[in-house]
Amino acid sequence: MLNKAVLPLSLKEPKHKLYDLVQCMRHFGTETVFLVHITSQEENSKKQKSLQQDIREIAEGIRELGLNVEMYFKSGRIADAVCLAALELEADYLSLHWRKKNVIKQTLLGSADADILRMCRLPVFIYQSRGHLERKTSLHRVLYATDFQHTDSAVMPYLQNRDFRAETLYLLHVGERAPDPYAEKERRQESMSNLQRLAKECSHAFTTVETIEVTGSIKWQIIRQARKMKVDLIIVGKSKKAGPWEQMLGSVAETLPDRTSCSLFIVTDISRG
Amino acid sequence: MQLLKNNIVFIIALLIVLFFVGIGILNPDRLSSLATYLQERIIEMFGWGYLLAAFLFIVFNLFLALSRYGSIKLGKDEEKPQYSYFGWFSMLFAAGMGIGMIFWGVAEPMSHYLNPPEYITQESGMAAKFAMKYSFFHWGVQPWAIYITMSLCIAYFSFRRGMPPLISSCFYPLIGERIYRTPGYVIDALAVFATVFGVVTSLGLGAMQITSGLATVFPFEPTFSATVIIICVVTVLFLISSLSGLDKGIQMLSKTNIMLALTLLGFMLIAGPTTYILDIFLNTLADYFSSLFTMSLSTNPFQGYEWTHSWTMFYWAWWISWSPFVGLFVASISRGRTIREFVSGALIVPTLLTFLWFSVFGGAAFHVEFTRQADLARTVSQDISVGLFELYEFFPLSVGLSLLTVALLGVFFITSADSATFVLSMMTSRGRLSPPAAKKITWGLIISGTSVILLYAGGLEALQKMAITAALPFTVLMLFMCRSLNKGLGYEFRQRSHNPYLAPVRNEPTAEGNK
Repeated sequence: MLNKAVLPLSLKEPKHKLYDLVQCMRHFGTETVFLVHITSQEENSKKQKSLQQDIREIAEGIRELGLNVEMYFKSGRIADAVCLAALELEADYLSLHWRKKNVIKQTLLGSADADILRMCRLPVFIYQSRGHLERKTSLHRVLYATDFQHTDSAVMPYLQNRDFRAETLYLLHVGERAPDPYAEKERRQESMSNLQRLAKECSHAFTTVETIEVTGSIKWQIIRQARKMKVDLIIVGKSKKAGPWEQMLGSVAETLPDRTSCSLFIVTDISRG
Repeated sequence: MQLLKNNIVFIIALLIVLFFVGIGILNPDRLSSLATYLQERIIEMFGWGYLLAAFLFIVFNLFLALSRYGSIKLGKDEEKPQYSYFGWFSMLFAAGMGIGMIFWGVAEPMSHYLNPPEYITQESGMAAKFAMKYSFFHWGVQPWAIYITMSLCIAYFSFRRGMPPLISSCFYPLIGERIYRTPGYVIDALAVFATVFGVVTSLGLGAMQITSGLATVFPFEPTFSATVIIICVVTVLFLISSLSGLDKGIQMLSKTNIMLALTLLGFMLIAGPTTYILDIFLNTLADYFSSLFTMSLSTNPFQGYEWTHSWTMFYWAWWISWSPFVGLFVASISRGRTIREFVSGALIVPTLLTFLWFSVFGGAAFHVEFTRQADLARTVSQDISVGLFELYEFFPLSVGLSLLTVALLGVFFITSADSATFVLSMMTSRGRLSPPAAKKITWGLIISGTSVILLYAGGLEALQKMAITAALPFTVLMLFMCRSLNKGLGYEFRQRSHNPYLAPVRNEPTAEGNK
């Protein structure tokens, strides 16, 4: 399911981190990588040649890791062009090397990565390393944050299909506390039975499947539990934004990359996204 | 151990109350200076917060009443209101502000008329207009919005969600099981603290007014011992009422109250300058509504700053500190009403009656002041408790009116103390709707005894200021309560949309429900 990936390159990415990203992509069974660079109109021919040379070198490095590489040069607005290229190339997902920006910078300058994530209808893999010294390429523990809504139908096929070759899957549900202890007990029971159902559905694809049920802020609990369980990848679904607050500030899936240092795999529920 | 756990709020609250009362007896000056310092600092630094919070409570109440949540019942879906409209309004009024209105009905307009903010000329037409407008404002929509917010939260979480009728229960959606641990105990103990101090000062000051009233009719000196006798009589009466149970005692007293109040109001309207009073009523009503938004959010930093601090912000802090008691009581009498019915009823009817009361008594006082050169304002400025009785001197049947007012004060007094005893016992019995008689007697005697002792030692106003300091944490808590209620209602609606046949109502709240 995750054979072909589009990897947009701005050429500001440190090479070793790009290769780490590709190493991670290999865990998903990816065989072909489409390197896409969006050229700007200001770039003269000399600069373009130099850029092409850089991209060729990167492509060569990726080939040495055992993946097929194709290079594409597109023009236009970055987010639009990348999303369009991904559709044209019939890629299975899109892969981003995420550069975190603080709130002020993001508000004033915007972020091409954030725009891609917002607009893309394909799954997006966001690679993040925990620090400059740590090279994180392994994939042992995966956490899927579910809301038991329609996004499950988009995410579960990936979990059932062994696309994430990890050993442990944590199924996390962050619920809203009910208004009284009796209703809360019922809510917890319902959540636990839903988690058990999901665990059963994908138990064949992982050595261990564990369930976690907590209450609180969805975003902060995902981050907290991911840190607590030392997971390598967080998987979340993305669907239509609910309230005006989400419309303004972005959905949980869109704000997570700037809040966690863990890699993310974000699946858009196309029927509702 | 279980006995200690069951009575933890009772023990904590009792120790706090005894500690402050002890200071008030042994060193009233120190308590007074500490309380004054705290109160002034808080109002100076957070006065704007009180104004903003009170305004937000109005917005929140209107939102609940007008939104889809308005149809939710404060009880089971099939439940009917326990009290008739007349009984409900009578009890709302008696618990909310009855006694204060008698005290301030003449005194407040006269005080503002004599001492308006510095940008208004004293004893001018403008000062009179200002006095009436701000009397309406201080006793209008905001105090009721504060009470309603508290009552709604308690009623929803107790009667609809099956939790004990405690303030801590309202925080379940936010802090979960922690309401049964230290955070919950602190919230309930704070509510008891504010209620005891508020009731003690009310009882003490009210007893002084009854003494003043009786002294205008009967030939005796309003001495300390006379006040003590009055407190003793009132204590016996409210304990009898309290032990007879909520249904019988308080409802009967409240209905008597409202009948007496309406008789007095009707007489003053007819015997007084009727047209003048109605002119004042309409004119002030228009003034009030046209400037409600401005008044609600004006801290007046450029002019009238001190005045706003000493009146508006003081009032808001007082209403908030009084809200745990009134909120719990109003919640307990509002079971079975929908949110829309509760908000509209409690916001409109008592407010209109209050406006009418101020128009009648304030208007009559202004008429006497302007046409008979009575100098009523200066008399009130010397002793607030005699304002109403001085006004009666200019009316026929003044002795009868004074006696009627004393009776009204006495009954209001008994009702307030009765409901306070009930609420305090309930709060310290883990929310039992039928608290043990021993606790009612304990709290009743503590309230009366403390009033007598502090009247003697002179720490009564200091205690009132201590009660007002509790308004600061309560303002924050009430904002969280709004959030909590909104979450609870939202959850219920989401559940309903999943399953329209879902019945969210639980069993009766019991002490065991706390576990």
